[in-house]
This record gives sequence, C-alpha cells and structure tokens, in this order.
Amino acid sequence: MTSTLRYERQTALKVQTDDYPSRYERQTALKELGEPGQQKLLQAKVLVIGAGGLGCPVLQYLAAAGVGEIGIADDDVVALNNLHRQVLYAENHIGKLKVEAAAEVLKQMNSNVKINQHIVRVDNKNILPIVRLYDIMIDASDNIPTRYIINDACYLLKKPLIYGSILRFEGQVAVFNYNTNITYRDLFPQQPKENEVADCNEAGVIGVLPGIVGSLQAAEAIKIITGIGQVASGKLITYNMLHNSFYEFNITANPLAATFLPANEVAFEGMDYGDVCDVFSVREIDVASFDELRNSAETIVVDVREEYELNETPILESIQMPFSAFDENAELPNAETIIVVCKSGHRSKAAAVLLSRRYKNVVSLRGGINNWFMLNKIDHA
Amino acid sequence: MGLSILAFGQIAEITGNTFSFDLVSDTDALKLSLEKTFPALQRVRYTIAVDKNTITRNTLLNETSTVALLPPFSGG
Repeated sequence: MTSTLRYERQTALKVQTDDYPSRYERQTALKELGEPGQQKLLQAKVLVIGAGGLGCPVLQYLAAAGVGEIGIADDDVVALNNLHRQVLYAENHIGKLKVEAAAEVLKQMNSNVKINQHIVRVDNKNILPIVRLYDIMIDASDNIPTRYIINDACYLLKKPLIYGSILRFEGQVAVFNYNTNITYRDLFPQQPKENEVADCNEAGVIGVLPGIVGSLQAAEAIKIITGIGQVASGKLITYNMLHNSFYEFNITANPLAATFLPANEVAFEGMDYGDVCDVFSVREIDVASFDELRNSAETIVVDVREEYELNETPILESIQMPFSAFDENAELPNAETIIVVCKSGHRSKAAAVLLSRRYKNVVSLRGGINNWFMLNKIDHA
Repeated sequence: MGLSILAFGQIAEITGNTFSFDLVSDTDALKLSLEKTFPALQRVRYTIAVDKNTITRNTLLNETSTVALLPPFSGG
C-alpha cells in the first residue's frame, strides 16, 4: 500500500513539473496549430487590463492554453456581487485584490505560466511602461476613459489591441493596430461624455455574456499569436445573446481619428481623459463592499452631500461634512476605515483625497449614494 | 419598401432592434429623420454603418441599403 501511495505522489509531482507536451496535446493535435503554434503560445506575452467579467474568461483560457507570460492590471477588490460573472473568484476571495486572487487561481491552473501582477488603475501617466512589456494587449476594462487611454497607448506603441465591451445582453469585439492602422478612434473618434454612454454597473448584466465576449477576445489573441485563421482586424463584431445574432462591420479609416489621437507620448500624458485618470489615487469601493464595511464598528461614513440633498435617500448613519464647507482638518473619531460618500461619487473622491493627507485608509464610494440606493432598491424589489 | 435599420445597445432600447424606416436620400437626412421620430437619440453618440461598412461622411442610401446604428459600450 505504502509503495503504491508513494508511486502516485511521485506521478502527481511529475505532472506538475514535466507535463509538457502532453498538457497541450489536444490543441497541438490541431494541424493548423501543431507544435510550432504551441511554441508561439509559450513565448507570447499578453497584458489583460481589467480582471472583471471580461478579464476572467480571457485569463482562464490564455493561461490554460499555455500563453507564456500574462500580465494582469487592475486595482479593484473582489466583491460578492462580482461572483455571478467573474468566475475566477470564489467566496474566500471577497475583499482581496482581484490581481492577487486571479494570480493565485491561474498559478494553480497552470504553474508554467508566468503571471505578472500590476496592481494599478491604468491611466495615461502610468500605462506606457506596462504596455511596453507585452506583445498583445487585451482591453477588458469597464469604462470609457480607460478604453480611450488603452487605445491611445497601443496606437503610440504600435501594439495589437483586442477590444471587448458589453452592455446588458450585447457585446462588441474588435482588433486594432494589427495588420491595419485602424484604432478605436476610427470607430468612435471622440471620447463621449459620461452621460452619453450607458453605465454597465447600473445597467445590469448576466454572467455568461461577458463569458462569451471574453472568450471571443481570448480566441482573437490565440489566432494572432499562432497566426491561424482570420483575425477581426479592423472589424467590429457584435453579439446579441438574446437573439443569437452576430454581425461583422468593416471599420473605415476615419479622418477625424487623427484629430483626437495623441501626437506623441508627451501629448498623451498631458491629455485629459476625465475622471479615471485624475492624478489622485484614492481607492474607490463598490456598493457591495460599502454595505459590508459600513456596518462594522471600525468604519465611519462621511457624507459630503449638502443639507438639501440629504432627504433624497433614506437616512444613512454618517458624519455630515457638506462639501461646500469641507474642512479637511476636522477631527474625526478613530476608525480603521473612513468611507466618504456623496450623490454620484465625484465630490466624495475629492474629499477622500483631502482626508487621506491626515487619515489612513480613506476610500470613496464609487457611483455615490445614487448608485447604492438604486442597487439596494433592486435587491429588495 | 423602406430602409432596413439595425440598432444596437442603448439605441435599440429607444428604437427596437430592427425596423424599417422611410427611404431618405442620404445618411445625414436619415439621422435628422430618426432623431425627429426618436428625440432621445439626440443624446446618444453612435457611429453609422451602411451595408456593413462604417461611414465617415454623408453617404447616399437606396432601397436595398441596410443601416446599422452602433453606439459604444463601456461595460466589462
């Protein structure tokens, strides 16, 4: 018995360390891919920006396929309401950084893959050195400013970009800067204002939709790396889950794109992309984390709304410090965490920056009380 | 016989996913006409594709044209 056990243990160890090529034999059996294709995968370096609904399936399939080096850029933490779609994470990851949780899971999945953790919210001041480290970028972000920042960085550094985005039951996928000069700005030249694009956090999403769209992005990455098939280069693919419909559009080179693309790296770093890339680095928390944290005795909530705004939502246990008369040096009770809130999450972010000069662990509620109130209303409906 | 229109994302929520629309001469006229019928479209930014190619200038339309209204999505 003992010897059998030992034998099995040794076999298991062998699988971990010397599993190549059998680990990939089902994909190298594809004559289009073969051993040369696998070698290309093992040598590829891919950056995935955003480890959320789109990022999870992208990361899973690229790690499983044996992509040699994978970078993950994200600054968010896992929340309970992420789990229905961000399928890399489990309940024991709640409150952990997504980058760290994802790296842990992917390492267990394929220990041969090198995972680089970039714990950062990419902006136009920090993205270029990260992008330089990789061959292919995957935009799995969740907001418009970040999408323009990623696009413009990839344009400047001439890196292929696989774009994916979702809204409710629909998704978009496109490939930019690969065998064409087409970028996201040929499709949408000018960055829309916040109110011109529906926000997914508020719009709702079923988990399988980013699963499908992220899988399409991973497929494009594998095609680019191995040189097989037709890449959606300069094309926009749309998918509608409710109708099972796929459409493909050719993106025409747009003369307006040049007007809005940065001329060089200095111009890029000086551009104003709006909120996401402001110079303040205050951590924002989502509604689920807010509800978890605010009931703790170690947490205080600072509400910076004006007095006249307070009756718009149910009463929230908080310290009221209206932004119009905000005093960053005010004495606050001892607390492990200070959560600053306002109506939409903008003033609270600014106030959190001011408070964090004096206090530790100050965070801002993303989307503000409006978002919290709306999501709770949905939960209780 | 009119134009075939395909709408996506938040535009489809305003107009429906697919619909026919009275033939007009070009995409500028179509945009005006659509925004008159669906005033909410004035507040949404979108790119137009005619017969599966995105357009960057005013483009002539005919009875067989299929027009797609493509807004950007932000979610991930």
